[in-house]
Amino acid sequence: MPKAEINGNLEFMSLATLISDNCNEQRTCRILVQSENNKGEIYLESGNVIHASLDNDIGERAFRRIIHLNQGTFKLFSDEKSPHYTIRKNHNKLLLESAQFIDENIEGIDWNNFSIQETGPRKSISRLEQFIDDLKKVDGILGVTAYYKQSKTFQENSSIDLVKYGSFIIDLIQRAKLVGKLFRAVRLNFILVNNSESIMIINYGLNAIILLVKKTNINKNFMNDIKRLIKKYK
Amino acid sequence: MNDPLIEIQSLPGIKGVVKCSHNGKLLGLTGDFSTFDTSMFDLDQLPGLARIIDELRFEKHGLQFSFENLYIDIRIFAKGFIAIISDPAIDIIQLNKLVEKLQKNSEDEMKLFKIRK
Repeated sequence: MPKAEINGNLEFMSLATLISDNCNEQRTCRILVQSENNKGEIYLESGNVIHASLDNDIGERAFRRIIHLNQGTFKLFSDEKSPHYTIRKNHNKLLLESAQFIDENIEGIDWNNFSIQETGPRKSISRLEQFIDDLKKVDGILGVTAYYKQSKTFQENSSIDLVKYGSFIIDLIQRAKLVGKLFRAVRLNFILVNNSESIMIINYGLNAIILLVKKTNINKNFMNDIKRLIKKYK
Repeated sequence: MNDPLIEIQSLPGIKGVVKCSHNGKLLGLTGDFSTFDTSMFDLDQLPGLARIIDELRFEKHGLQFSFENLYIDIRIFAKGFIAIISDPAIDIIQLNKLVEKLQKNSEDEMKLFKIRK
């Protein structure tokens, strides 16, 4: 029996981070994930995700399901190669697509009848567009970046590198939810990162909207406008 | 000398402040302990929280999470971090000003984590 090199708990470390780190280090390994009801595996080869399986699913669908498990354990076995190649996508793109399914009610998705091409009603996308249009009118916003379903993105006056920071933002949302869980918080509205320019990440259902805001523009009126719009489009 | 967090804790809407070392050891529920609702979270989970905070590598940056029922402001210092838990309707701007003042003052940081000169 091979011995696991790393053991961990999904409550304390997200798979997105584990995969991202190992892909960036060009590693080859097998990650075994076990939760109460599921058992899955993800294989990396020289920094590429090449195979995933969970229950009866394989490939990207299995990957998307596994990446959202936030309870259970994982074990990483170095240098174990997969006999199957079911995924041929850059890990950042895979994680980005998976993020589109991050939602408070992720457990409620019927994965057996779900595919990335069937991304829900058109109405929700137009609602997101309306939301963005209203956000753009708020005084103080320098740029807007949004992750749409099907990996479509919207970007205006924003220099955020979607490929570079996509998985990071996904990870940040997941971790914010974990922190909230510790404090029994419900429904993440937004994350605010303060630097010389502030970044606000709005958790909007299956999408994320990233606002670039000049720090000095964050005042009471600004916060009230943002909260009002979040409430309006909730 | 006053606890540097007293001003923060006196803001309307503050539910409590968790002070924690980077390895997840609870250093205190600062200020008026009687007002802190310890049932809000499980102390055993603090190492997990510390790890999440540590991995985010947001030194010197504020990181705030706004939830429907809570506002969590996390600030990272050399010796540990604090998580300020408040009502979501708290005056974020005022809170931010006070916390930044605390972060800029190394004397306050020493008091906060009880570092001896």
